[in-house]
Amino acid sequence: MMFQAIGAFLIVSTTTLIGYALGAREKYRLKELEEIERGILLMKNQISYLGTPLAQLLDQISWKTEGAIGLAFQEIAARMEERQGNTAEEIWESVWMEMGKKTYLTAVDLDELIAFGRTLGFLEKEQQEGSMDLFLYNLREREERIKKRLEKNGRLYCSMGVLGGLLIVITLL
Amino acid sequence: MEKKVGATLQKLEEIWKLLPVDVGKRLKEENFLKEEQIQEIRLRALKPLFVKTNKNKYFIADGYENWIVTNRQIKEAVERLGGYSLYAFEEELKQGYLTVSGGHRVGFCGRAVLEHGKVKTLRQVSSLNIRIAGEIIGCGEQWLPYLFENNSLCHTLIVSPPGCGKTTLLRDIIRCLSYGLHCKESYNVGVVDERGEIAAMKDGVPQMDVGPCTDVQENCPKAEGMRFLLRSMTPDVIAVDELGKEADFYGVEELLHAGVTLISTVHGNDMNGLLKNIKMKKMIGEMEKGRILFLSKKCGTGTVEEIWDAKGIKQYERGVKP
Repeated sequence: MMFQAIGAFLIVSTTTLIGYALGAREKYRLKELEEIERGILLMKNQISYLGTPLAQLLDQISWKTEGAIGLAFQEIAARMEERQGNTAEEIWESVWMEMGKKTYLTAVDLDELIAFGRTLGFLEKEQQEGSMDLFLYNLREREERIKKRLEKNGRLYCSMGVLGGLLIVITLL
Repeated sequence: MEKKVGATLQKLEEIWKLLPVDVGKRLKEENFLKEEQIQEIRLRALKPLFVKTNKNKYFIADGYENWIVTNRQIKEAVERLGGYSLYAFEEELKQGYLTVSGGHRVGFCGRAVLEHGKVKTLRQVSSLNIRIAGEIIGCGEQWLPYLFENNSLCHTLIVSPPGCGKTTLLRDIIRCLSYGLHCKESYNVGVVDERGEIAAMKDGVPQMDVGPCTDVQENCPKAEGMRFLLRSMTPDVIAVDELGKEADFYGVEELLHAGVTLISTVHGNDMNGLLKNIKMKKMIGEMEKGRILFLSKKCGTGTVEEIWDAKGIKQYERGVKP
């Protein structure tokens, strides 16, 4: 009886944690997308008003953005400073491919981020601003979708975890 | 006196870094480049890679085959030279050149985009000319005595066609005056470095030796820069590179009347050609004490052919004993 109770407790707590983790993952993903948005917004302002070169401005942005996103911006800035790639696109893509594994971003998020990188480096100021506006628009739409999903499903993930655990326990008993 | 001649190995490493990886790697393999002094590297789309040194001109080749520069390499070179940020250099691109770290000047040719009849930017760049900035410490010292009249420094123009070493000589004269070499005292020299070629500033520090008493106004149009320096830095001497636009002469006019000495470079061939430019003629006429140095490449880059004073009297001629 004692072992059964411990087993049931372990199953329910594990499934609850899985449910919670699924919800939290989306929250962290949203947080990272918001950090990217903040970074790109800062980037746009620096380009529009100061015309700061990318390596310099990405280094500045890296200090103003948090977590893995800040680290990615810092790495891109360092590689650009060292001219470690033939084009900005090449550096941008290689860093996000490496750093993407350490983030909560999905493959679709990374694809969009990499696609945005293809516009960096060779455009005039107006065109560069245009490409940033488009990227920001898409990013904000994505964030809105995640927020709505979180509002709707946030508690659902936890409840599903608890209920799923209970279902397994009942079935096993 | 220590002589730093042109592109040293360390400098070359900097230059290879600015070029597309495979172009830099290919040039690094060329042994002659270690012994000679590179002056120019030219990249032309679908044409052989070209290098000009102080001794010769070369098409880079692998065996009997020329090493051809691809369109992609040109695009990559433009991005790398522009620090992956072409938007930051729109003004320079309009003029068709860019000065990169180290003071090297990169000239671009491509398709000009016009707006209201003026060049807005360059697209589809098809050729690049990277001119390596040469610093020859001491090259101006022997000419300094000619720049003085009754112990006072004369306004000086250094005249030559492109590529004869005007900027290098100007930089060394600035250095000498700033250190007070061959002079009674050191001079406060204000430099308007519109193209960033004289001092090659990086993070506010000159990468070239322009002396301890030199203030550099970088990336500023010459006329405005001269006014800034006049008002704010009380210079004894103002040095500028490549005087020629009409606006430049307005700045010079103010400067000549303010009692500050001008040292400048100008494109030209000889005295007659120089005086055909009405603005230039007027400016020389207004100089109370002036010297005009003519350079050529006859005995190597930076050969001083003649020195005239502002009244039209020849003070020096190469090969003629005084």
